[in-house]
Amino acid sequence: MNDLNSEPSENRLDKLAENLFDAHLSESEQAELLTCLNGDPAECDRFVERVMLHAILRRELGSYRPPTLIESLFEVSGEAAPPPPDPKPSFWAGTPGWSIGAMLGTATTTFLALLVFAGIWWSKPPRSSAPQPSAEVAQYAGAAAPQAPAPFPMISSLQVKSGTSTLSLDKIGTVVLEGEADFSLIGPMKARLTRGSIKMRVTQMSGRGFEIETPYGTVRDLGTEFGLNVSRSGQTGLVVFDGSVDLRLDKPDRTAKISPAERLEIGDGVTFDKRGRMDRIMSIVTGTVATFQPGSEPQSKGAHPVILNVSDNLRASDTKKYYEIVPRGLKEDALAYVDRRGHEWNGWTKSGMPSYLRGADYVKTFMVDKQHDNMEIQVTLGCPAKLYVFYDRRLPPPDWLRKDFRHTRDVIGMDIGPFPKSNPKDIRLARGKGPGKNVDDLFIVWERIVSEPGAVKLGPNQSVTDVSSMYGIAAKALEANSSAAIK
Amino acid sequence: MTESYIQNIIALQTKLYVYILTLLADTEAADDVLQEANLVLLRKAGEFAEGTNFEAWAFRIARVQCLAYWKVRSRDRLILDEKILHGIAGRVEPRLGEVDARTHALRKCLGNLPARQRELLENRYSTGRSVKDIARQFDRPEPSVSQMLYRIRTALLRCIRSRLANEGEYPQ
Repeated sequence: MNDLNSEPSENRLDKLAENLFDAHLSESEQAELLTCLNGDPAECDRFVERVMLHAILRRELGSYRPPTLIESLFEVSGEAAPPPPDPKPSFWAGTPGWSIGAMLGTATTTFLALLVFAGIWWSKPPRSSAPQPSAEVAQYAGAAAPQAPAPFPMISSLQVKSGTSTLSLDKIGTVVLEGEADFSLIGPMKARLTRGSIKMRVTQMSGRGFEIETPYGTVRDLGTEFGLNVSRSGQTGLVVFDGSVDLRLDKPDRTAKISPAERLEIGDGVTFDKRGRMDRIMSIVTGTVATFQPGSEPQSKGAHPVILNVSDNLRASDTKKYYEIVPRGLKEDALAYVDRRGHEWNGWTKSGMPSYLRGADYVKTFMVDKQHDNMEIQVTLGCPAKLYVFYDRRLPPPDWLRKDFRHTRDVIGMDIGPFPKSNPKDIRLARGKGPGKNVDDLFIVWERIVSEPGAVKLGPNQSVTDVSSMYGIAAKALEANSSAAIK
Repeated sequence: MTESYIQNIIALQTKLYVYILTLLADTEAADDVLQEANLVLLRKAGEFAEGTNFEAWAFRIARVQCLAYWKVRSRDRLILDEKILHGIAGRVEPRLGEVDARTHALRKCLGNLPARQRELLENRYSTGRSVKDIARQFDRPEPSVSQMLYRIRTALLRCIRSRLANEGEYPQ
């Protein structure tokens, strides 16, 4: 594969093909291309060869869209189909709403209000949100255009636990509310969050396109799981746990060249505020809370975290990915990365991962920046601890690792699952449950004893091959009782 | 609708996409029309005669959908002459039998791709990032990223041709 060193001879058809794949062809370019294809069989062959490559890359590397077929099945079966995802972040039309002015003080009263308003919505005329095939297309296809009813956010169940409540919205998904969340439904496909934390998972195709307004921006679901945290000042944190969302800022800071609309993908996290500024969220904490909390905030009472915070030296313009700290979360099948939904830590054999790792605090790093040469990660420990790094055994250990850490001669496995947007039916990406099943890669466990609480710096991953993964981080308190830890 | 019918549709997705994208020359429209074609294939499942050529049946439906697209887009006049579209379709269809062999070859070629180039491809295809986003991430001008993608694809094409030629599966 050293052909890149020679300058390929690009002809007009190649150029049009490249524009087609990566940008957009104008009408005249489209006409030129199609005329060209019709004229010269060899040129047509050359073009089709490129299109085949593009299509296969889409499928092999993951952006092939199986939902295309799944959506069709929904339509044929007569169920409500989702609105088509926007091709790019864009301003979406506001939903004519049923506004409610009252801000609800507690989650419980919020639910009571939701139940009332759900009843009102049931009597409203349905809003058709299903994609409607044009009459002409249907005529050519010889098929009738289905008229799918709009999904209503009927509340089908409600579970209230101490401090959290889970709301099931019929034909949409679930919303977990934590603490005093001011959350209200304001339309068939729209809600408003003015304070507190929620985590929403859209489980139904008909729920795609659901919007949540916050004080300074609106989030639109594109088939996903995401979290929102609105502070008293209205500053809002948004993190994407799965899939993607569009964020539209009400008043983007144009002096800072902030885009008014931004598409955020799995593993992305940002804050935005009344000045229209958007910043990266460096780290979050999950596991001890039902939703999430920013890593910069003190963790909940009694949590006794070992890992307090994680940060790096990447610029906000480099990435929007966050680190996810999971206190006491390391176990079989624990997710390894924030931007890979199916990559799991597992014991290499059926006896499981090394026992000293079980129950450790761990950090979900992100895979997409595994090859940043100058990356430096800072892990802040709240107590004396053993700090572990799981380093891909296919890579030579870098100097910083050999210098500061000890090779334990233990390994931990990784069960590789689907990549973002990859075909869920791809059996090559099947995952096993528990240790010793479907383990694809091995990571060497490196250990460092950190006798004082504070920050520890880790170096770059130094991936030198395409088939390697970002390292993992875990820590366990040196003493069983870490109550003297830094809070 | 039988399970094998659904499996046939799923197995044909890449070929259908190639077919439709070639006839439309628009990636966004190709996704939409593929969706429409899938819809029609599912609705017309009862009309398909088991034992006949499924691919030919599916391509015929896809071609009609492409024609419908051009007709809708041109608002009652065809921008693209129907004969031209049929002509191109007739040239594309025989080539689609190569998709499986090319996929096999591509997997091997991807394994030999330098890490940086693989990373760029993954950014483009795995995460679906636009060239603009990638350029911003790597702090490179957009044309530079486009040119690199072009070079990578060209190198992959050469590699695929070479592998297929060596395996005797591709006519030089």
